[in-house]
Amino acid sequence: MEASDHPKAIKSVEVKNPQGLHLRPGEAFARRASEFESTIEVISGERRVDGKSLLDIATLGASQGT
Amino acid sequence: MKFSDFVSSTAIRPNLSAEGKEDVIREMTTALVQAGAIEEGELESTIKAITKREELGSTGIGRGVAVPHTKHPSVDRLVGTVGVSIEGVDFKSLDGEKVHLFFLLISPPDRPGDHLRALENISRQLRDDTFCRFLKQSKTAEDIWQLLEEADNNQFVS
Repeated sequence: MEASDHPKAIKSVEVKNPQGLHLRPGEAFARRASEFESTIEVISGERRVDGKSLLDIATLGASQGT
Repeated sequence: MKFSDFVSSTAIRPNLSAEGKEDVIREMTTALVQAGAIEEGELESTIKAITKREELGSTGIGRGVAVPHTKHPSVDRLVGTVGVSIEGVDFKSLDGEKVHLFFLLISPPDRPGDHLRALENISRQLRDDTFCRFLKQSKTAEDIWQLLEEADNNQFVS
């Protein structure tokens, strides 16, 4: 199966929370993402991480505005 | 935000004696007081704030690691410390496992960026198994401090 056969959805969002994407929202995101079968990735700048892993999301250090 | 920017070297605890969640928080916060990073008079209110944050959701993020933290007006810059529990502590972690590595962070209320950057650094290093392993095997505060310095010099992160 080629990569182009896999359906993909991409959404660009901006972090509004003044505290950035810290542990609590990160955990909520990871928990929700884990409910889905699909692969979910979060991309910030040049970093691309597994959206189902809180530890991975924490490595983004995504502050307000990113 | 390197480890050396915020970790109080004299507050590092390579062999935590605490066995429960509250005790770990108390032991590590006391360590920061003893290191002079937090005023003694602020000990109880800081512990209370950290505990309150834990009640919102465990900072045991899995893989045997926890990052208890709080904002507190008594500090004017981010301070933190590292603790290792050889036995492991039940921290009600997200993956149900005991926690062996603790990073405690106390940040000033008006600088969320510092806290986020510290978290970013800590989590990047923790994704490296070698770093985690060496940290757990550390025998002295000096061992841990050297490890943090090596991490600051990018010895572990690819």
